[in-house]
Amino acid sequence: MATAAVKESNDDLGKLILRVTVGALIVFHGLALATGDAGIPNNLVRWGLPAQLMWIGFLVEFFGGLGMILGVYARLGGFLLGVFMMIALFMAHSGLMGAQNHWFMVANNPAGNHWDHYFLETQMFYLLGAFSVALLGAGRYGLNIGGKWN
Amino acid sequence: MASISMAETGSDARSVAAVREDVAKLVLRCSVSAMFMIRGYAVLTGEQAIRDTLVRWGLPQELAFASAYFEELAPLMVILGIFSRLNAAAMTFWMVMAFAMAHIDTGHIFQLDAQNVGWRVEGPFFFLIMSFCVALLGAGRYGLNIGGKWND
Repeated sequence: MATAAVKESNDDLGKLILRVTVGALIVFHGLALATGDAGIPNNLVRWGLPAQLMWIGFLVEFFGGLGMILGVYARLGGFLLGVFMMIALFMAHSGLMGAQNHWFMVANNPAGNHWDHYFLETQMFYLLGAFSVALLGAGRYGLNIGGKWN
Repeated sequence: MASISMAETGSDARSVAAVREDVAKLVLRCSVSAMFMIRGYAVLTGEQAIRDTLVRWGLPQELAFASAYFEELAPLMVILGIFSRLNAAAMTFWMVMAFAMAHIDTGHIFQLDAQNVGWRVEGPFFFLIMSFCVALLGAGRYGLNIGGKWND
């Protein structure tokens, strides 16, 4: 009985730090986007789409991230962020419409003298971390708003 | 009759939730481990960053070969489902050491990345947290399931 309780609280703790990490880190990207980071708008324009669609990305990154941190519709936020990352990988990293195909590339270390990581490492962490939040749910430690979507 | 079908519905609903959790645990442990192994391969084939950090702290740079366990063997066992919690805890320890030795005194933890769009240590922090999550959540059902409570 005691071990089962420990295991359950470990589960909830794992869900908490997973969703807070993914949420807190993506919120920064949402803020950067809202304050002039040109990455997403440039990609939209390259695909012949209006740059204003970036505000959908902002909503997902900022409010989805905030919801994951607080435990408000965390599953929904995780799912939407996962879909958002799939679109990002498709539009910006798959060799389409003039972009480079990054799927089978490694990238250099900060010093620039040796490769040291998978090119899409960060993107994969967000994609898979977000879908993991969607699959695991928020756990016990949070505001617990959103019913089965949390 | 009615009670039987209710019980069946109940167990179905539980199993969907359980499958979701197991899939998430599989996705988490395989993604963090695969990317660890790519970084570990770079270290073993001559990437200098860890060696430079060790030298800066007055330690022998050969300690970088510990990544053969922490960044290759441990992640491989996590992927397979062999003592996943223990090995993920070791990977977490490895990342704590990375932060202690390379990212705190250098001020990286207070900086944005080169493009000014995210936290500078986003990558290492993801490795730290994802490993810790695997240690806390366990491997789930999809794997070799070796190690009893130290795996699942």
